[in-house]
Amino acid sequence: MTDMLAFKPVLLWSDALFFALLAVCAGGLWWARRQDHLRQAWLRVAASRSGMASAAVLAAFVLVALLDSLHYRPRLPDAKADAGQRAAYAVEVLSVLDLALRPLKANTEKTYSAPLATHLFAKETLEGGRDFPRLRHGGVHLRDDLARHESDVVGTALRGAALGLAAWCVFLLAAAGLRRRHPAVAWDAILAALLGLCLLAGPAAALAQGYHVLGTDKVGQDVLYLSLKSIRTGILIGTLTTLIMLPAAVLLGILAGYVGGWVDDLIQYLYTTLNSIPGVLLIAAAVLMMQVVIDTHPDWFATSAERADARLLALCAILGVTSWTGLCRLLRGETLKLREMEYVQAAQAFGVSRLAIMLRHILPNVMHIVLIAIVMDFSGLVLAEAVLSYVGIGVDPSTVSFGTMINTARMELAREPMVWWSLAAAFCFMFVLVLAANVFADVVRDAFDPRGSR
Amino acid sequence: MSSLLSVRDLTVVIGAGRPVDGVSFDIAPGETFALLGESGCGKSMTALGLMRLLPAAARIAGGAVSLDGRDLLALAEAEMRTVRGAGLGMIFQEPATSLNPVMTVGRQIGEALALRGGGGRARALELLAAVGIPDPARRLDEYPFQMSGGMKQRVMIAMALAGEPALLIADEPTTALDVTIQAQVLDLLKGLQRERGMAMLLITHDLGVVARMADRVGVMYAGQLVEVASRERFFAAPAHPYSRRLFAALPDAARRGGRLTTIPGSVPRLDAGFTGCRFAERCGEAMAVCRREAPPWREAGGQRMRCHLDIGGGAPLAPAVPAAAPAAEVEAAAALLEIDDLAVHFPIRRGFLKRAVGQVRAVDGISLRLAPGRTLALVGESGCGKTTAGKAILRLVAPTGGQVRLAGATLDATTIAAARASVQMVFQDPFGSLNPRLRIGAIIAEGMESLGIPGDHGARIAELLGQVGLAADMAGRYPHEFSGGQRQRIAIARALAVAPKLLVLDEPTSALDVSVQAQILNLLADLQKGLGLAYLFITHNIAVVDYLADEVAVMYLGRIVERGSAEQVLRKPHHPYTQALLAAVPRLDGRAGEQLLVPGDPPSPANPPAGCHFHPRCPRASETCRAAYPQAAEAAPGHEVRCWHAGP
Repeated sequence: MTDMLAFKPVLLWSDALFFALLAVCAGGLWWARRQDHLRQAWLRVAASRSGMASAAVLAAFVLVALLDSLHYRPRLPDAKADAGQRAAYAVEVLSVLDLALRPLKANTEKTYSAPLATHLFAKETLEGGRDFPRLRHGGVHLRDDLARHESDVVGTALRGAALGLAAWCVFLLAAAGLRRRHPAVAWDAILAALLGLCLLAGPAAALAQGYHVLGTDKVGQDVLYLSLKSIRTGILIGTLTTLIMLPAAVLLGILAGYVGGWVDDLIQYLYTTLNSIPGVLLIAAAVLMMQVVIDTHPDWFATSAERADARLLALCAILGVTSWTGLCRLLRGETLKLREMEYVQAAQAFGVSRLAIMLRHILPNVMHIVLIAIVMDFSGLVLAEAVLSYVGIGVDPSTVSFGTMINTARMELAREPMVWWSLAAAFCFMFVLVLAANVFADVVRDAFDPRGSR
Repeated sequence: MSSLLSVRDLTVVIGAGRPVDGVSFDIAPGETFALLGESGCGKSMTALGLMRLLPAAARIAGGAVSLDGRDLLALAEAEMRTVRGAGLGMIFQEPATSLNPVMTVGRQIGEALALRGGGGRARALELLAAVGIPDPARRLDEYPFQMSGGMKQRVMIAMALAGEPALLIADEPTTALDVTIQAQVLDLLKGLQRERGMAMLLITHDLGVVARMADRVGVMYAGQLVEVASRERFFAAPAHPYSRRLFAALPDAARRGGRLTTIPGSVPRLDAGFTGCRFAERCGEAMAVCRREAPPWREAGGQRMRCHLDIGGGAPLAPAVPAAAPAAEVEAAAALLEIDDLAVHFPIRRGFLKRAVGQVRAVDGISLRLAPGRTLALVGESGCGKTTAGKAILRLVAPTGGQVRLAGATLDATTIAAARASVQMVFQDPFGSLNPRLRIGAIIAEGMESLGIPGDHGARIAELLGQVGLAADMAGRYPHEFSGGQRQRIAIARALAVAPKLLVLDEPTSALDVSVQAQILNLLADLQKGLGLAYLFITHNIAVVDYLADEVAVMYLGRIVERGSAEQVLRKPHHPYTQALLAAVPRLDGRAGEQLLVPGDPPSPANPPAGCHFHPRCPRASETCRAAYPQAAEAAPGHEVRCWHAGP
């Protein structure tokens, strides 16, 4: 029995790519520390208050996505304790985040319920006539003492806030220690952002023990749980898409600008053509084709999670194919400017090869544009996913994403009284994520813009 | 003397720095006051401060500015707008960016006129005619891109005149223009000023322009005025140690073969706290008191300076070493570089299929000889093809005709790779010629690595840095840590790294201040002496040519119109263009001298005039000139001229 773990780790393709991306980012930061000009630029980012506050918020989102990317399959409880038999694992793939949020995931209601409610949202025919039935999980600890509901909510929230404050104090102490070693970093902004996060997360965590903090959706799933699960999808689409399109954009952009001639013509025709095909149609066609491929080869995937994951990656690839043209065009223009620089001509006078000139003289001098484009594109892609899923050509229906949340909630806006919480929750989470990414992108752009550097 | 503009203790701050620190001067009606100084000394900031058009980061921290008795600093912004234009007009350095490219010239002038009660098209026509634009009625409906640089600057002047300002502020009005055009514009400004009784604040770094234009001169250094004097006094006997060194750093024929006086170091950072004299660090005459106390103003005979020395009390600067007797002409030596009929034609492509419909004859058959260890100056105005010719020698642009031979071996697409170590190039812009992402060591090593030169590159880099006067430990730094002059030294070290025999120097000093230019010219002279390098020196600066060239070739519209030894070409020019070029150089003695103005602009090399290219602008032009291009004729042994009417 010793070789039989209580779970079996599962590495989905998107997990592997996400971890690789994080590793590359960490490695890149470590490398940038030793490059003088990059170090200076990142120090400018670190000294910016808005930059660091948004970075702290982004880090919280990335942490959630990271926890949601550690997948495993739990071992099924042995029906018969046969020693020789191999352990059976569940077909359902869970993540560490699911483990942490197990009560939220498991405690489903029958259908809609409002945030922090104790009863369902719609009346049903009960034994004593039509009434709002009690929830199976929300507020059950109150038993019949419903008068205590409000005071219980407020009390729990306050207890949670106190816990959040306590957690924040830990950060405060850590920051005080770090501040001495890195005085230039805007620690106060980081702490302010963390204080906000702690004061939101503390009460939410405390209330989630007994209530559905953001209500439940049509099939009774907890909306807070769905929102947290959507974060991974959004972040993956925002980052992996860029990763897929980056090599093509950089390579083709620099080639077109530096080599010129028929190469330039060819690349220009290519991206002009791609750009003139309506993006949504192209994506819709590709997604549908891919859906057919996936459906006809069920044997490729061991679990439904793998299937959904394949569809997510394919969506990233398609978005990447349609979105590299903008960066490519920017890089071509910049390269056209750089190739006339005198240092490039000096290198030509030494007979340096074209490839070496592109690598040594052009690429490092366009990297700031690449970096700015990555960060700016991120928010656009998160929003694009929501729009595509809303139209029905986005991620797999079984994948939780902001787009699918909005899609399922849209019909209920017409209901009277309105079911607003699904949409509001998706909106708020996405808004904060995109806003933080945009603010961070602005700060990065200012720090790396050569004209702004002193 | 009642003054029109009076500036008292004007101080401008940007953050902790003070680009203008307590500047005071007066300008009388109709007078021209020149603010002279190197880049970064605060002269433009002073002008913008007067107009209250400072950049967002800067603000006026103190002082008073009054124009005709009105305190400009106390005016509300709305009132100040009425002063701009009517009281103070301004023209800027770069005519190409000072005009809106999507509006016709007429509308832009009309805009300036509308603010002063209109006057409409007739008035705009009048203004364009006043600034000497031929056919103003047609030009009024043209866009800026249809005009040459000189013409755009005239339009700018017309716009400034629209408000009939009492004082015209001209911020480096001719720096971006060629010498012949500069002479036209300066003449125009002088004439307009005389006609209208307008006062002028002229901001420039060019002593020649000051000598030609100014009534009084103020010398700025590190945000302060250090000397104020009348033009005659200033040019006869500059008093401040800084002014005297500026004069001594100017290259000219009298200093040939000698070393130029340089000012060591560079202009101090303006956010440094100053206790003593700001120039003390770079002054050869600094005393202990100079570092301790800020110097007082001293005055003698209408000349004032801010210095601890008495006026006229400074030690005389070492006179330039008189030119060593010119070495006997070394004609015997085999030519290192021979160029025969070199041509670079760029096709003009039009239409969908990009068929060539014409050709820009950037370089149209030039022939040159250069002996080892000598300097050949290729002189001409912008657009004459001199830089293209230099690049064609290295095949940075592919020549379309002719031959280049280096030490007897023909350079073509196949042999150039082997010859790259023998001929190298130094570029004009020290800020664009070094990759900002590479360390100095990597920049210098690039050529050695690419050409596979064996040996210890690290030691060689240290040696090269020493040769160009930099410290060996600077190899680990990035270009942005260096000043313009230091960057140009690095660019020279990079070219020297592969031990070339010939350096093509493309305007290596035109982006540098006078004092730094002197350092670079001295360095080039030392390197030539030490390493026996030959220089092909491409420039438009006649003074520099006079200082260092052995031979001179004058280029006009892709062809060489006159060549010979420096003595022949510069002392006894035979071609009218050479004569005009020499006459257009502002003279330093302050006397007007005889002026030979060349009218008009250089024609386009895509559509050169028939016959002699110069005939539309030439005072000697005749029917023959319109019919055929002149053949080369020898005016003296080794002195070739291409002109039907050549003569002194």
